[in-house]
Amino acid sequence: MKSVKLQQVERAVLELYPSLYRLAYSYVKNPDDAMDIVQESAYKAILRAEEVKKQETIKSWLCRIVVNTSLDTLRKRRRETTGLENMPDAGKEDAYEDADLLRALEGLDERERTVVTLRYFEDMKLSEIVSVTGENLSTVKSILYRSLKKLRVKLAEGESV
Amino acid sequence: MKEVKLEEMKREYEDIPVPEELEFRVRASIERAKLERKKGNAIMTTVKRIVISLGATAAAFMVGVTGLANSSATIAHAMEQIPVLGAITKVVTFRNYEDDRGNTSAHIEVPQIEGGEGVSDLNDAIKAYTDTIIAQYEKDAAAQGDVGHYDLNLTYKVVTDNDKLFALRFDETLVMASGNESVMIYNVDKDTGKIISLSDLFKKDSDYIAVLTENIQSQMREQMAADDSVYYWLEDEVEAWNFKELSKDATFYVNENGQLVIVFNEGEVAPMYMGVCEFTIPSDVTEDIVKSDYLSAFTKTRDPAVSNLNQTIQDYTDAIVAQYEEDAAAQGDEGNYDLNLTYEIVTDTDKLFAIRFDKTIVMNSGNESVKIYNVDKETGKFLTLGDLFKADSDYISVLTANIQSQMRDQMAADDNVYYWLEDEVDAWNFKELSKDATFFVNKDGQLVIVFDEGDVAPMYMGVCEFTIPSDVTKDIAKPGYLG
Repeated sequence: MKSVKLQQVERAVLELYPSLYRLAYSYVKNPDDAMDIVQESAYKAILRAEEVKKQETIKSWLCRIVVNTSLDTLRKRRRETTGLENMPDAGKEDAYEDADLLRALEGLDERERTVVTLRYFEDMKLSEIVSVTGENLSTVKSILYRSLKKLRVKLAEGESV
Repeated sequence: MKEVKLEEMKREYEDIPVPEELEFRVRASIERAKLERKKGNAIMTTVKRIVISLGATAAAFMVGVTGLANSSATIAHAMEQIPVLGAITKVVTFRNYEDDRGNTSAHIEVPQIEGGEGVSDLNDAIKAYTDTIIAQYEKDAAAQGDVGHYDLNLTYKVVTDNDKLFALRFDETLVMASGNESVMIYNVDKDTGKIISLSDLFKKDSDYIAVLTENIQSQMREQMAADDSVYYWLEDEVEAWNFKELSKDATFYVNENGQLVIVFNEGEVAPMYMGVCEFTIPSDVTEDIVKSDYLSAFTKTRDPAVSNLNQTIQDYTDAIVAQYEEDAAAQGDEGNYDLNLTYEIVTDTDKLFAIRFDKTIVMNSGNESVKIYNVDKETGKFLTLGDLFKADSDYISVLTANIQSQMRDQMAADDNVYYWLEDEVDAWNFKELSKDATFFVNKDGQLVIVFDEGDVAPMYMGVCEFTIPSDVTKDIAKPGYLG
């Protein structure tokens, strides 16, 4: 028999890996890297299943692992990329050319993209975003406002940040 | 940049196709990680209970067991009732037996009763018994070798025991266990001090193995006939598992009626769901072959005083158990811990003394967390931090400020010490003490606040305790509890 935490984490990984994939993909913009990130995150999550703290959900803990692993991957890429190719994401193929609208996210920095993705695409609560990013609540909110302005996004009526 | 609608962006995001092979890859990673976990060493803790009735004093203390296991964690059962130290014993002090040989280790705290006459004889008796147990542990640990199934660790404290307050401290640590419940019983001959085996109970020329085996087999048949859900490996088609003969090394003890009880571990004579199986051998079966005196009824009659005492103890602990159950229910799906108290003195006659260790399955989150129950001895009520302070006082700010300054002092004095006080991850910083903080009052009458691992500092800092100086609390504390 396994520990309860381990069972919960395993169940969560198997349920959420498509979301985790999309999250990773939003950083690295290609399927192979995104899959590697998800695999590595699943591995880390199971290995350290007991580390989920009391005050966070398993989903936000998993997302934190994926976000950190994705950022690590991007940083590694930047180190390997020299000279003319300054744009970190430009060097890799983006196989999905239909993602016109998502390209708008490229105008944001990493923190802003993370917060927007988690909030609007993964439907996470602000408190969960705090867990994932380690920023405090007011920082998360100001990042959101800033990002929406940059995207010149209109919120639908009645919708709040 | 065009104006975009968030919903449209979300739809695009959700349309990002997930490659089919990802599921397989994820499952493979999961299995790889599980394998890696099994290889690593993990710590197991089980909390046990000891009740000693020796002479006129009843003493009870908890035993914690830590162990290294090579298999994954398992889930424990709910807590059983435990008797606990009551008013008759003053502060109970412990001496330590420590042993560490890599994959097995022992930390045994031996209780000593303080105060009153006749206590030194009692303490000598306790010491003699536990010395024998320690010696046996060392033998077992050596025999375990690399398998490293268990490490023995006794950790229990009464942390407050003054006129007004009684506090019981449970220390829980990370638990991983083999998943089996197994029973180990040490039987000690009180005359010789030796640990005895089953054969020592019986006359030399007697065929006690055959006699006992036959009796157990017939009990198995009767039980299966009476109840469909009972099943023993007796006439199973898998011949190899069937119970054909009792082992000379069988685990046993003598119950208070002077009868021999044989104990089988989970999976020994029946499928695991049957749990630990015990068979009481009727006296008429053993009377002709047993050596005199071993199988006798417990001769120590319980003092009325002792049973009154035990009742008081029981009342205290019933309240504590009820509180624990409330807490456990509040834990909900998190399932951070299950407390399992399973230890008893099972034989106590003129000639025999037996201590039973029940090794059970305890799961933990991986954090060490401390739970302390504070009981007002007059009202029997459970106390929270606020109950110690005057109604209009701002005890939270006062305590918070003091703890924060202690944190700063400690960090300034020692580079290794780190608290989440001015960390860049502001969400984790300790800004205010919770009303539900864990606490106890130490023997100097000072308030001690206890934080779980990961509460106010990174995990490596462990459980953090802060003693609040009396002058900080004296103006705001209610009289009687502190100082």
